[in-house]
Amino acid sequence: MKKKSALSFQKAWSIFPLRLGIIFLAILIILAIIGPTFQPYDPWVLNDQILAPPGKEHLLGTDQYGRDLLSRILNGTRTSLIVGFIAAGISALIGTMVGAVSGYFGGKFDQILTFIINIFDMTPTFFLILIVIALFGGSIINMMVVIGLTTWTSNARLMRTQAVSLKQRNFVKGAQTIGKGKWQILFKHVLPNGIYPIIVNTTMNISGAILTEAGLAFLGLGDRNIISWGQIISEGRSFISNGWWVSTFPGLATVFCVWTFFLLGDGLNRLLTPKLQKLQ
Amino acid sequence: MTKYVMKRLIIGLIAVVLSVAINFVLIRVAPGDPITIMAGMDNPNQEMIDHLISKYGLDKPILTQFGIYLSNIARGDFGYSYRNNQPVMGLIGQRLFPTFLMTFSAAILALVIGSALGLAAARTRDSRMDRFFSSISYIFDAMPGFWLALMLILLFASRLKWFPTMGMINMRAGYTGWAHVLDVLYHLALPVICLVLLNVPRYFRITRAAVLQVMSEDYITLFRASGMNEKQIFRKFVLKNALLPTVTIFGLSLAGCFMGASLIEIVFAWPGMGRLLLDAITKRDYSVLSGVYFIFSMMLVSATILVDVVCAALDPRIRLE
Amino acid sequence: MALLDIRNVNIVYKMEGHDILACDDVNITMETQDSLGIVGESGSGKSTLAMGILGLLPTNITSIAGEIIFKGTNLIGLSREDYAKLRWKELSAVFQKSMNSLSPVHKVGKQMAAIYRVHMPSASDSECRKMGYNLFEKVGLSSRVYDAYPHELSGGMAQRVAIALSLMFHPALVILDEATTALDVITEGQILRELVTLQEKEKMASIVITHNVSVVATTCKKVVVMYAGRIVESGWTDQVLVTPKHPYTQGLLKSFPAFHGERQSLRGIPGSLPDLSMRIPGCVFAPRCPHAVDRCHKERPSDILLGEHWRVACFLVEGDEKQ
Repeated sequence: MKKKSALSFQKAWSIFPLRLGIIFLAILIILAIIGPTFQPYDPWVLNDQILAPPGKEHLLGTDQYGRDLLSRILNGTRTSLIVGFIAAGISALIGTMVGAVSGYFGGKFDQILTFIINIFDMTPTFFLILIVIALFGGSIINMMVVIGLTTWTSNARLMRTQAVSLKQRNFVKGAQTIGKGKWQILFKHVLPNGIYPIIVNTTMNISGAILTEAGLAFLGLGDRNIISWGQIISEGRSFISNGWWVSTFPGLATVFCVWTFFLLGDGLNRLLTPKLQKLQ
Repeated sequence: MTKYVMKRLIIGLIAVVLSVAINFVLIRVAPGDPITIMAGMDNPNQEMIDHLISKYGLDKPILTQFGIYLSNIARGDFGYSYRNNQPVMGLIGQRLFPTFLMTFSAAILALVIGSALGLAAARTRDSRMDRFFSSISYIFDAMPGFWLALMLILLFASRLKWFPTMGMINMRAGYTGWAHVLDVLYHLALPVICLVLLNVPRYFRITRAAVLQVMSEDYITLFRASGMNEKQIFRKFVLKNALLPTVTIFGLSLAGCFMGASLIEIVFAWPGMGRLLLDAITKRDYSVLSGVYFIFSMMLVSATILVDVVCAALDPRIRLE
Repeated sequence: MALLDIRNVNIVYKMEGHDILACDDVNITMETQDSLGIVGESGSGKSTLAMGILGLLPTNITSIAGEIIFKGTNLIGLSREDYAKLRWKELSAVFQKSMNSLSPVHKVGKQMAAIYRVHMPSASDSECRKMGYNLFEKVGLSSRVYDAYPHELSGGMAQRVAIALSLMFHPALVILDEATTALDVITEGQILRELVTLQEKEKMASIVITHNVSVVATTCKKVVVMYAGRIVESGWTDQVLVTPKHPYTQGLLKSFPAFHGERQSLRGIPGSLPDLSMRIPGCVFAPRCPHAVDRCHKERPSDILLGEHWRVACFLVEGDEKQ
């Protein structure tokens, strides 16, 4: 519990990947917020200059309908970030609650949950998501919910381990002996002290969600009413030989965005687990 | 050991049944008529409807329907694709070989390259090479696979013309014998390079981490203190201990590799499962989609069980549990 | 000639941007068949010192200065080959958490044989087995352990295996680094008593490194108390641990239950280790010391001799000699 005070911003800043991640994330968030206001063209408006290469007029060129690529990519930032944050958020919320309850209370519920997690590990998540989206339609909301609902198990596993070990610790035992309620202990001691691995895992899940969305959009299962990087890459596929820029730039944007969250995850891991001893 | 394997098999079986159940429930919960979904077209004719109702017992209670569904799948009947006028099993069967060819060659190459690099990096920890590979490994992880495939085509096929852009064989040449094999290998190269690039980082990191972890164990310090030389310690004790996590990841990612391969196959127009999947999505041929889903479920389950058994064989702690 | 003579040893960890002085001007002398305990909290530099003697410090991030003279040879700067000749034959060790002292995927016997063959390359399998059985007998283990996997052993058994391993070549000196810490109290006591007997029988010297004062009290004739990389007090166990002179030793003893009857309230020492990346001009314990005066913060106290072997690094102690 004392360690919290040691987690100053200064310390976070001294970790290189974390510093880089924070700067990149700030850039992405600013682009997502003000991007659409400052975009040079309306990303939906068709234009006569079809497949114009990157140049003065269109910084990153235009697509097969003559739409400005830069404006479309700027709009896609918002989609990726929203999908990433909300899907990983849902996953973290469910995983943390289920894992904490199961690890802390133990017993039958814990056994059943561990069994469920083991089985979930044996199901091909991406295809499950694919099937659901194919049946229910690829609206952005559906996508976020389905990704969240299928990826919570990793969080539950982590939180469960934390809860099991925290249960043995003196301050939790102390709280029990002075008669604090189980739920109160769970929320006041177990969750706040066991949350670090979840935070790290969630940044990784954000990356995963962004890549999953891109994959679904590439398969034509994306939300048609929203601009997403995966969709732009997918559309540019047919013009790879005479319009290389259409697929290349949104792909670079995706790599940048996903990498940012990897950096954050790596950095947070170093910040929150003092002795770096991880295996995966 | 037998008990352990049996336990894993039972969990695996339950996982497959669960996949079937999820699929069964989804069809009935999804917007639209289950019959239309199963037929895979908006206006199925009366004959088709009658056939589906009698085959799946759609006029019977829901649990009976599930029983029929389950027993069909147990008998290897994954449904019928009216779009393709073929049973789903047959459709998948034709595509399995190209997918296996591509995925296995890539997975094995990635394992060999990735773990060799990981070993080298761990032994020269914090060297320039170690840092270089550690940092670029994350960049490859951050790439959507299909985009990397596009970029490789753009660079090596479209611009440099070193490799063909698509397909598995040169249709016009119609090679036979060894020429055919070489032709397939020539077409295989770029998709395999792509999959290898995408999978090497995982093996690299896991091997590196596993070796470093083992090197920091007390027993390695003990061997050092006994005067054993580093080479011997490494060969005799580090390798075998570091092998376990690598094997685990290999098995698990093999199944993942199959799934990732689907998207790559689409980009390279490789005649495998990916192509089938994309067609099924665009034509809304649901029976094919669920068939592909089952196949992947089963592959994942078998891979997991296989990994568990191999680990048990390597690690006495699991074996004797 | 002393068996082991540690003179002015400094060990530095080179971390990103700053150096951490883990051992600060350490001096220890040991005779043949001596038993010496080194006590201190975690971070006091005691394990670092052990690794320094064994030549197992990671060379890329540490540097060591001074002299460690073992049987007339300076171990610092010794070539890898020459070190390898000494290892295990003259100088062996039992490490922390004996459960982890063996590779989990190899049989105990196989690992024993591998270590035996480092110095006896031509030993046959049956010779190795015979050697193993002999060692097991010494430490009270069944010969079945030879064909067992480490996880099949209990904590106490694994501990005995680790001790057996260290006795393999009748070394002149064995270093036991927190060797019994992971065991339950009863097993710990049992093994400690056996160790004392073995030590006398095998005629070897030992260094026992521990944070637990009672372990030293039961096994060692001499004791060295370390704090933040420096030796604050050293001498005969029955003097230092009975009438401690240094405020740190006094605090350390108070945080353990008394050995003989008389109950005292358990008390920890308030505060924590100083930042070792900073140069400390005065006494390292001054910030936590209840008796610290101005001088303690400014000037480093030199050792004060109380009798022949008893040394205390504290301004507040009146010694035999003039300060």
